[in-house]
Amino acid sequence: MIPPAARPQTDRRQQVHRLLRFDLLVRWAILSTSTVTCLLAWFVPQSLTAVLLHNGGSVSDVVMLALTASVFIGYIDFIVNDILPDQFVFKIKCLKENRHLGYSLIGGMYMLQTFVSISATIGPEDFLPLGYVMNAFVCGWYSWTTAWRGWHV
Amino acid sequence: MHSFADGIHGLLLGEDGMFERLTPRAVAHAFFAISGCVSSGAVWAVTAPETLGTLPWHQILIGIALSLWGGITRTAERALEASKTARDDKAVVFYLWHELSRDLIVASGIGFLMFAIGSWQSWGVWLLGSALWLSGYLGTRLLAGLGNAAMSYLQRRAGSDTRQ
Repeated sequence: MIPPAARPQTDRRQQVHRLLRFDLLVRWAILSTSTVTCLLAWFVPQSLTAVLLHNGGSVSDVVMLALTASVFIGYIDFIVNDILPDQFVFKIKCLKENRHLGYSLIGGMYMLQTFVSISATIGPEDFLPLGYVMNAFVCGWYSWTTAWRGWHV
Repeated sequence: MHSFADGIHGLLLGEDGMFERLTPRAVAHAFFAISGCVSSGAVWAVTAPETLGTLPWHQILIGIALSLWGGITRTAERALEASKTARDDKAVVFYLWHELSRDLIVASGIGFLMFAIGSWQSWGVWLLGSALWLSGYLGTRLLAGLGNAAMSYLQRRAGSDTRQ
């Protein structure tokens, strides 16, 4: 039996689609989960996230605002610098070059929420901080590795 | 045959003895380590738990991670600056693990101090966590700059002493 011929290198199916880049997918995943956190904090007062963020006084208010602002800026970066076609001249370079700081900030705020909400004994009530720390881990992973490699600037 | 006293003398003051290897960087690192031990001892004295098991270890681990978070972010930022400089065909020396170790040591030392201050002042958990996190980043940014200035000053002083 004759094996099928390999596709030529110029075949577009050999190239990764620009919307299939791994960093784009990772950022989309981080922004999605952070969006859910922000929506819960702002609009669902009975949720654990809202209770946590509304009972901390002015510091937790600042954290909630900073997390929302970071996610909003992340979406602007995502849309303008990645989703819009490359020939589109309106690119925001400073957002792209400082992207790692924004995601480190989001991860740090998730770690801060974990610090506040974790209990002395591990139990089912710690699933929420477990989710926070997993989100923070992904944020840190993305932020530090991209900055160390420096390929996004 | 060398005596015990000769051995100690050689270890401390010999050509390759301990004090010969005490560079300003090593002194700075030792300072942070000692300050961490002192501050954690102070916290221990104030809180005085009956057993170690009563301490909120999970929260302590997350607090340490919060403090180190800023240090790692600062390292990543400096690594990016170095790669930008290298991109412009300029010579740059940046040893990642060396710089990361330095930032982690600085961040952990400042984190210990901040935790001690927070416990002393009875800060709330939100304020304490924010302070740990911010001090990890800003501490490595500001204090490392001060440390570099101090080390360059010491090296200049050492150079002028040698010339005399």
